[in-house]
Amino acid sequence: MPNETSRFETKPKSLIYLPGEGLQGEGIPSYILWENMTVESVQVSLGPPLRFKEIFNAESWEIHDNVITIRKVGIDGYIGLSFESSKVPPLEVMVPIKYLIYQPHGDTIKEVKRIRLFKPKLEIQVSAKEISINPDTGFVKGRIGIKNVGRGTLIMSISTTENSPTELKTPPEHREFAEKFASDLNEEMSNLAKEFPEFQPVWDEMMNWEKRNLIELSSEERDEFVVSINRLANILASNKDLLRRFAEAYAKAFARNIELIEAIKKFVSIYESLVSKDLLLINPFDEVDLSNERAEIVLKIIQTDKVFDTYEDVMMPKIQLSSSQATKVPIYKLFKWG
Amino acid sequence: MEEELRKSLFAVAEYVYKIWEKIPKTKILNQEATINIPESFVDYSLAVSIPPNFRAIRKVVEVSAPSIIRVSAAALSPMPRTVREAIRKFQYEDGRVVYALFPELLPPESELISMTVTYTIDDSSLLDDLVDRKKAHEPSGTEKNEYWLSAQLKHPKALIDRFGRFDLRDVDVTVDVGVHNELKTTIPSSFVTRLKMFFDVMAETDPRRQFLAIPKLRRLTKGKTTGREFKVLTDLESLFLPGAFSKYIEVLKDFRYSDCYKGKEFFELPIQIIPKKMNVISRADLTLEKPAADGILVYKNNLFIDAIKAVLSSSS
Repeated sequence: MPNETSRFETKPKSLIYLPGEGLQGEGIPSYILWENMTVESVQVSLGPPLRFKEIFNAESWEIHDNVITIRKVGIDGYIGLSFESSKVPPLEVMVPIKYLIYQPHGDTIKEVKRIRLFKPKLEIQVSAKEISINPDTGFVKGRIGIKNVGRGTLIMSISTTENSPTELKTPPEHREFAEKFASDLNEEMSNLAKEFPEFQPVWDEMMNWEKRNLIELSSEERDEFVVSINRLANILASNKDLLRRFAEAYAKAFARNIELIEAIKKFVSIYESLVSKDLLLINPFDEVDLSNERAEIVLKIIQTDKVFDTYEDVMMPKIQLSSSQATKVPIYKLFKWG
Repeated sequence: MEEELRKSLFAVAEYVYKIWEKIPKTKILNQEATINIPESFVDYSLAVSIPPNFRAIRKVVEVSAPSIIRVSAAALSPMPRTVREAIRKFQYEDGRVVYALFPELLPPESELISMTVTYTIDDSSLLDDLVDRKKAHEPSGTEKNEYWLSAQLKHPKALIDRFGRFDLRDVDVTVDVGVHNELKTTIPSSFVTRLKMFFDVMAETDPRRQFLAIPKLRRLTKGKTTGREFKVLTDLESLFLPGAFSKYIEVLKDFRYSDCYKGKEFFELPIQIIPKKMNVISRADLTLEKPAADGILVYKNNLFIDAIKAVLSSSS
């Protein structure tokens, strides 16, 4: 005699999954599951900027103009989909996706799902051609306005252009710390790789990227970099011991290079460099040397986002910097972060 | 399924299958496999029907491969039970480790037995060949604190053709949870200003300037957290220990919380004191009955802000 459960289990059921929001440029998953029903074919239609990337568990399928028709599946009750998206001019765009599940006798399940795709955007306002610094009070007059008017994190680096009369410099103590730390970390990680040989190639790959500058990477290289990051995350997630030891090795290399006072100093700099909501500055310590009390500088902002997409560089007009006495100014202080 | 993938995943399973396939009068009725992701091993079982005189005609069934870590046997009829004593592990003189099943030690009435071979897999890219995993890089939802997660089997057909049951346990997806906004908005700038003044005064060597710094020092003593700056920093840092931070994470639907660690922003100078992000690992199981999973990771940022505030206001 059928009980409650088995009667429930024989009810036809279908489920369509699509996330409600996503960053323009990231991979978007979708899938269709069904049970206790016969499905003759399935049709999925997409609008730009979404495109089909991969389909799972389809044995016979075709695609025309962003409409995919699946006539035969591998195992019954499942179709997996992977979409890719790209950047579009609007900061936000709503993309409908139409799913049609065709059953025998002309019955059709129709469902339209929507995903909102957003992106961050940098807005810069140069209000004055001269920025003056008072080293005593720390007051900076004529700062450049900067804010993220879109949604999502912008990762940015400020540098000088080739024709800039003044260059930015990383303070020696930070550079030395970084170099010493990197070599100690490498030593810790090599020890770790002896114990976990599968970790070695992943870490080597990461170290090769570390030597590069984000600014120099082409968009293909950025894609490769994302693959490397994922590989590191995956290997850490696939081995609990390795994850624990990785975290310890990292903390150890740090502890070997830093005194408490230094740590607190760094905390202060970092706090100050967390410039504003959804803007991450990757070179907060870089500074302008104003030992002559005056300088001319041409700044350039290189930006990317959490999927390491390429954005256009922002070039700024030439700016005069002045100070009442010789000083060094961290670059983030020249900006008014919105 | 790619030939490479089949080899690295199921070479041992196929080897065990072939051993049993060649034994006359036995019949393989079912095969099952469970892949355990965090421990990187496969549990492969096959159910075999054996003739009544099997114990007499077959002295031993041996399996041996460097990646095998455990072999067990069970009688499935008339009552299912594990037969620990029927399997013995020993080493040949050449160093080869062998697991041997002695049929005479199986329950005499049993017509159906199973052998389970557990072996390790060392191919870290294997999961990507089996499963498509995706995650949100930015939070969404009404409070902008939710990250979606998904995992889908890529080749279920190839697996169902082989196995009666196939489980992929603890498939991981790692999400970068950004925490810098909470730190920036919750830690008052006066706290940081005091820290800075303290260092400026300490670093001063010019006696005239030292004198000028006295009013600054006086001002230092007026804040609520005065004298506890170091403790506040240590307490703030301890909020990022996995045990503490996990309280602000909730994973819903098919996924569950597994672990977290401080995130490193590559390309940045190493700055470990307070991270800008935490890497949170969530896990889900996939089977041939449920070949796709999705989940939501909720970062309870408001509770985390409360925790930062509590650190800032706690008495010393």
